[in-house]
Amino acid sequence: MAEEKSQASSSKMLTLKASDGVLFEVELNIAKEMKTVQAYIDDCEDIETIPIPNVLGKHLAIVIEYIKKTNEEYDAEFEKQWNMDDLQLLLLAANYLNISGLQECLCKAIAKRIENKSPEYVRKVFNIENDHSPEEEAKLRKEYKWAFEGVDKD
Amino acid sequence: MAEDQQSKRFCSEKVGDGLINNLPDELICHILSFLLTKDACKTSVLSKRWKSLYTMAPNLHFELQNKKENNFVNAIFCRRTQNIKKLKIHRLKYSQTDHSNFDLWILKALDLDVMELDLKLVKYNGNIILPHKLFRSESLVVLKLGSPFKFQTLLSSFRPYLPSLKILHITLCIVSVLDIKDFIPLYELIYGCPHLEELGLEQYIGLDFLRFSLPFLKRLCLNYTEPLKPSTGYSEIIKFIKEKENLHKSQLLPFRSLHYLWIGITQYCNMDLIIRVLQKTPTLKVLVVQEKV
Repeated sequence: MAEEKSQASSSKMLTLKASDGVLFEVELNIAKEMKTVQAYIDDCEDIETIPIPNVLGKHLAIVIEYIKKTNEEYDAEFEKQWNMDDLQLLLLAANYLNISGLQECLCKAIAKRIENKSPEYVRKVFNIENDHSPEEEAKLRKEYKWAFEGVDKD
Repeated sequence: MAEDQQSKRFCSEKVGDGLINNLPDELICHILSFLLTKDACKTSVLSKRWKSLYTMAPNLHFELQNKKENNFVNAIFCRRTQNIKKLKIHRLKYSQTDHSNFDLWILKALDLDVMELDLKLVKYNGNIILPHKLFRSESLVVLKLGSPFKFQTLLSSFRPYLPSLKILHITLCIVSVLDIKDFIPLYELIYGCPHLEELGLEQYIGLDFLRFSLPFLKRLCLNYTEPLKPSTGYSEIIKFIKEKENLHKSQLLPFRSLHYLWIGITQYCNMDLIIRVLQKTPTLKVLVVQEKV
């Protein structure tokens, strides 16, 4: 399927402009995998440059490469290259651009990284502020006592 | 529609500023659905926002090792009000006293319109009884029974009917001639899934199901990896099957939509069977034959 995409008859090119001004020229059929972009094109047919205000050039490049190359093998290796921050930013990008395949791949990857980890670890990697009262937290921990057994060391 | 777009256009300007908190609930639940339920429920401790997020994760997945975990699973099901998309229970060992819980869990899942059920109890030595309600579910799309479930409890007066079922995987347990009684309810089951697209049979040694037309069946997986123990009753079993097949020979219908066939074989398996399956699959595109040593 990846090969089909690049050989498609559509030779029309589209420019995507990332939040930091970086420009990407992509084929129409690649851009259409981003449903948000598709909606944009549907609304104004003559558009040549589409602004993507929420995604940095660095991440848009990764997203475009994913769309071009995606297959089972690529997906398996894809997520290993990125740190947690990048994974989260890529997920935000995939969500904004509405690319379901990439979203699925990234959700799976993030889940894998927090599997069997302690809440302290998860708070750290996700940068979540703990606003539970100590009593509330103690109560929840007691309720799920079994689940907290055998957790990986941080 | 415009609102949907709105909620997606958030700005993530500062890197590392609680990025995950910018994600909508739905997306976080999607991440949680890839975790074991044990890991997902721990997230309730993270912060106030996360306290009940895990209860909305569409999937439940339990890998159970001992009886102590029953209370945990009970608690999860008690709290659950959200519909369940997929329920997966894999258990290392199952004993008779666990039965009442198992029944209740399945019933609760059915009440919550579960669409995919994946049940596997390894090293099992007894009779698992599945609730009848399971075989009349309108919501079930995928049913995978990975350990030998005995079907004897499907009464002849009870008709299984799974109108939404597209994928069915069953493991049979044929150790004695008495187990042949299981074939009958099995046929009833397959007959009750009119929209079946994928069928997987483990340890199945007969071909009677071929007399049903499964007009939408696209994929068929037959696994004969476990050799039938050549012990008492073996020859009776083979005789019984041959008789049944001769009886229904004229009724053997071809699969008109089947394009994928997977067969797992061993030195013990009956090649005639395989040839006859191939004769009934005129539209086949992909054939995979795998030998297990």
